Amino acid sequence: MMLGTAGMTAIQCAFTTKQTREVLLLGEKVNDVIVTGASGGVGSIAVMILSKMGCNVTAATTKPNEEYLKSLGAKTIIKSGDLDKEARPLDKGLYDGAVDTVGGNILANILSHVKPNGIVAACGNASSIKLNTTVMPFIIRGVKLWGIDSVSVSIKRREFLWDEVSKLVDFDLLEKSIKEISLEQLLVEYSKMLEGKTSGRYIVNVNK
Amino acid sequence: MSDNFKALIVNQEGEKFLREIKTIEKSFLKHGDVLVKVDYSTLNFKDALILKNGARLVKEFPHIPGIDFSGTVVESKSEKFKEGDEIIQTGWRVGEIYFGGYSQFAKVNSNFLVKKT
Ligand SMILES: NC(=O)c1ccc[n+]([C@@H]2O[C@H](COP(=O)([O-])OP(=O)(O)OC[C@H]3O[C@@H](n4cnc5c(N)ncnc54)[C@H](OP(=O)(O)O)[C@@H]3O)[C@@H](O)[C@H]2O)c1
Repeated sequence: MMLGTAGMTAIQCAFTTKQTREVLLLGEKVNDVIVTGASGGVGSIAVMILSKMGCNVTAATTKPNEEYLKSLGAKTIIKSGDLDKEARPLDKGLYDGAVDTVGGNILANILSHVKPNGIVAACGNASSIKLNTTVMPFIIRGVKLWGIDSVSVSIKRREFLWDEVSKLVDFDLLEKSIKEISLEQLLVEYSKMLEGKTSGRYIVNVNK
Repeated sequence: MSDNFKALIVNQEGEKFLREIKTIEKSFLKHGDVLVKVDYSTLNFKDALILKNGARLVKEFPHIPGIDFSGTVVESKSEKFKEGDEIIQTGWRVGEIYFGGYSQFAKVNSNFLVKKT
């Protein structure tokens, strides 16, 4: 259960950003990618998987988590705050693709910073449910915004993805960043998560 | 299985939203055809939203949250699973409209489960 819903979501995002363009759309290689909410459950696993797939991962975070994110494979760390402002319709093309777990202004800025034909896999709303963008990234750069939902994935696809995940995740590394908590501790940790004060993955040992 | 076990239950009583760890009986579990002894669940952002106030995702109270879990099948009415199978459950609105994994035992629809290989 180290992976759970976060793992299922992260691998879908990573496959979307990288394989969908390279394999399905017969597109250019995906090298430079950005992951937002990088130290979160989904974000941290996405950083790990994309790095393992050979991408040059930029991790956007609100926390001083540089060492942790680099240990997961991230090459560059940036502050989420720098992207949390009103987005220009198009901005400097920096990334071949992106995984966004936070929504809002940050997602809008990511869309403006993605280079032609990049795919942005959007799965989250940790910062905001809103998205204020323009059509420009889509019609000028062919950027693709790809929604990810881990709830209604067919069993066949789940089995495939769980299989793939085991090849792309370093479980020893993941284990180091996992916090095991009891049901009692859960009642404390959940509110910290809503305040954006948690990082990494929390597993709940119901028998603890 | 032992008849009594521990679960985290959320409930809505008027204006109040309650979160309690309770000892409950197997008969409390109402969904699904496979009974699982849960090892682990996890804390996801959606769980945190549900633990706060149900997040309008939970339709009926009292409720057991926990959108994912792993464990071992202890009883199965489905041909697809048998006692002793190790499973993973994610998605399908478990922990939202169905009881979830913040419980030592969970009952779940066999169509939702993936067998560990
Ligand atoms: N679509 C689906 O099926 C699906 C499945 C799973 C999760 N999700 C969504 O994906 C998101 C992440 O889930 P999770 O379980 O990984 O949660 P999580 O562990 O709490 O991670 C969220 C991360 O987002 C960042 N963050 C939080 N508040 C922020 C803010 N105000 N501004 C900027 N960044 C902020 C933080 O990253 P840093 O600490 O690095 O700043 C935080 O660790 C959630 O919105 C969740 O609902 C969707």
